Amino acid sequence: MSLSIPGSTLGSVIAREFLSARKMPAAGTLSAGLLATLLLAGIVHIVTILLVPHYSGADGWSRAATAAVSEGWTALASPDSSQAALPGLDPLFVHGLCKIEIDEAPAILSLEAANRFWSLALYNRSGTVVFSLNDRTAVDGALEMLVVNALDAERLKESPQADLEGMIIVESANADLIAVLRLYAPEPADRLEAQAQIAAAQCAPAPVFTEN
Amino acid sequence: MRLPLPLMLLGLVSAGFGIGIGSAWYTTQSIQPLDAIKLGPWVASPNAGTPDADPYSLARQARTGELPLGSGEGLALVARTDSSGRQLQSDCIYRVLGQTPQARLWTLSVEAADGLPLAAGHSITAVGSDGLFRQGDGGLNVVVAPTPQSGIWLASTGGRRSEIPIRLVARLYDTPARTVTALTNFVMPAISRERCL
Repeated sequence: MSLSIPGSTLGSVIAREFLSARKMPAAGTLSAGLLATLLLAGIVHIVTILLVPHYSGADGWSRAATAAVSEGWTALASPDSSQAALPGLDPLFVHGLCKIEIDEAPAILSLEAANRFWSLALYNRSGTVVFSLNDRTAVDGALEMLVVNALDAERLKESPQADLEGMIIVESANADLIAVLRLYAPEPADRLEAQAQIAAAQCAPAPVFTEN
Repeated sequence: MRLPLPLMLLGLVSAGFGIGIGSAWYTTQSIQPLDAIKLGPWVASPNAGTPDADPYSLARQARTGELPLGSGEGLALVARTDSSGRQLQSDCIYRVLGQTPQARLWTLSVEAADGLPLAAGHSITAVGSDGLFRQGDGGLNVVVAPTPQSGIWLASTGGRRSEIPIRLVARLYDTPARTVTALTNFVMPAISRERCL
């Protein structure tokens, strides 16, 4: 007995196996049932694994989106508070979050934080890092970044804007992004300074390019 | 005696769903990603957060709620057991001893097993590589314990609370370790359990 009945679905296979089982030994029915169950289990397993990222309300993106309340950068509360917004953040860092939408206008990100390690990552909806860098990659340890969609990237190539020189241009296929800023601040005094640097940092829609 | 057909089918189908969902739940709960790299008790997932992440890693990440470090930022190595494979507990004393891999900056922190911070009051739960006194050979010697210890001490709780599972996380920033080949040549410190309170 086999499951290779042409054109039959799993359910009808089980049914046929069962019906034909009246004339067969019980062991055959049992093994066919087990096989069908395992097949179904395998399919359900794969579908579940693929669906979890889409239906989990507690993934990193959802948590970060909830925590990024204000326009511009939101500095996260000290990590020793029990209501940490995101798990797995380095306790020696001060974190800033910013929601970015680039479907209508590019987003401009800037930070002045010399003499300390900092890094920035842009996450898309599935929690994948679209772009990341640290203070050594950035020019003079200061961040000047423009995040653009494909259309604006094309426009930029055609008519380069003079005031964008020296900026890091990041093109993203995802319109909705969350930027996470990590500033190394091991001492309490560092933390205050880092929080002030996040408060002074920029994360805003950029003016739409003018044709020249 | 035979079960009626619909009942039998119902049983098979629900068993299939049960096993399928149960095994999916189990694999997302289990700690080790498929594409993980192990260095003793330390586990790193260099593909996390990249488009190369496998579906299991994505599902697990969606459940833990962590945002992985980007490749331009660094790499996190997580230890949930000591070097002999026993689960790290908040009521035990551990010594983290040995060499650390190359990175411009790294930090070592004690966290609850789910990645949330421990309620350690004013005690220190993390150290950075810049504020650290090294041993003569440049190695690391840190004690993780619930009660104050001499030397470099990381507090695993604010006192003798109930024991909870903890994890140690070494985060390497601006490191060449993101590439798998570089990681295989890595040396990470050993975690040895001295005693439990």
